[in-house]
Amino acid sequence: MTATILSMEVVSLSFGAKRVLDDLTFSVARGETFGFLGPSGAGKTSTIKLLTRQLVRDGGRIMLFGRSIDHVTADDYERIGILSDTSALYERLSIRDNLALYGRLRGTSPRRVGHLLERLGLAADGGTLVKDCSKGMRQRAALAAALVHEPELLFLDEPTSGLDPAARSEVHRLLGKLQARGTTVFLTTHDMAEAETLCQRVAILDDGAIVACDAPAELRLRHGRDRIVVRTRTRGTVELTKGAKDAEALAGLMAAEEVLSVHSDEPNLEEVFLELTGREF
Amino acid sequence: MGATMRKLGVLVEKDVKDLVKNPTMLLSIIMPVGFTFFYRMFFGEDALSGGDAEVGAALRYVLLSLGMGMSVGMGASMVLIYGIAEEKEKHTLRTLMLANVSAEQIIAAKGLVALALTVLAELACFGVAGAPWSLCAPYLACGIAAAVPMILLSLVAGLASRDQMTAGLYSVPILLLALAPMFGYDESIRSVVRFGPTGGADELLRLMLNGDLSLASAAVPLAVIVAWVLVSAIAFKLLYKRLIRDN
Repeated sequence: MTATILSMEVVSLSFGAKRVLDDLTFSVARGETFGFLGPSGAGKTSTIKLLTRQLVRDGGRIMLFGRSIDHVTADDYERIGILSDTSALYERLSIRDNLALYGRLRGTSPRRVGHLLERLGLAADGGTLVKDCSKGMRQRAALAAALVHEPELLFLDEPTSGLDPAARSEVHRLLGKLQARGTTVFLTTHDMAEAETLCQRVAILDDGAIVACDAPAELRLRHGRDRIVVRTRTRGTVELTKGAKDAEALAGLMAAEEVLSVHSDEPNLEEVFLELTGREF
Repeated sequence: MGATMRKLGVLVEKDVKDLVKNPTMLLSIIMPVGFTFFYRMFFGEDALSGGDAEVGAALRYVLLSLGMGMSVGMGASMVLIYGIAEEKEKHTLRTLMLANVSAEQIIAAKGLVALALTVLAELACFGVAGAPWSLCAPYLACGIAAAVPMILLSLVAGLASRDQMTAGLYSVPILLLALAPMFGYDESIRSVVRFGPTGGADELLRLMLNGDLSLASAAVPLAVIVAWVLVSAIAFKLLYKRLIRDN
């Protein structure tokens, strides 16, 4: 059985009279990439802030590394890397100096900085002052700072927000490598395609409550429509139901050698969200 | 302990590196030296070390008091209040804390850098003022005594500042408190400002330069210094946990 690295049980959070998180319950297994999806204001960042002790819950239980978050030590936090929505580097220092700063604070080897700069495509820009960097470069540099001590558990709050497609796929590749090395990643995003690509499981959050939690493929299947789409040689695209009544029609098309391709009609995560909440993402 | 000292050292180095690349901060540290130099030129060598020894000592006190007050004021208010406000405004404070650096380590590093810069500025002012080098160590001791409460008060003001605009507002009273002894030429004003956070140290400096320093004459200024160190330390202790967060 895979060990749980973090979990929330019936966790709630309010800001004054406004209920921000409502009885959240989920767990993340060691080595898993877990996506936390939802539109802006759904409570994704608040959840990360609870898990990283930037906020204090109203009720419920949060476990991290097998103990209550109230008893997590400074040493445990050395095992965590965080890229928050407001992560920022020192603007008058270069990217390399910033990474060296965080590396030395974490007690890691200086060689690790060069290695990370290479991996994030920043090697040529290491000497650039952060104030002269583009948003994409800043975001990659902030990600590098979160990774400098090779954390076991990584919290990423919208890591590809504001990145161009090339930089985004670079970050995706890096996250793939981290996953292969067994790093647990807790990722919030409102990019459903990103979640489908990167995450083994996702929780869909709406108005502070989890409305679904499973593997993306399972969610798509569960909310799949009762139809298949058949592309034919001469009759165009034919839509059939998955039930017995259309089995004969499909068999007929196949017997007549009309079938070019058969597709199941599964929704993407965005459509799953629409079905679950009745609202556009 | 090892990790704490390592982090403190790294933070001090970061603050110094960042400060060296910040022209506004550098200027604020150089200003006291510039003003001391300007006033020395204005008074002229004849007045300072010529005929009347009493006038010379009084003018030397003005130069050294100006240097000390400005060094403390600029070092504490500019380096600390603006420095912390900038970290809060740009979220680097939160990023540091999320990298497992404690608020205490961040604050200690900033306080140490501000103290070191203040002492350096005071040393430069002392050199520019042209006072006998035998007075340098006592002068710096007075300077440190004046700087400690101001640094603690500035840390609180810095933490209370939401952004650099607010820092500008909060730095004015801090600067005025630091410079208050400079307005003490009038006896009635001096009877008030000598009880301020830098008043005790300034009074010791005056007694020393006039040759009036004794255990009895130093008792009140020393008590003022100790009282302000205690008051500012208590204020800092009470307020910093509430204030140590960014926006």
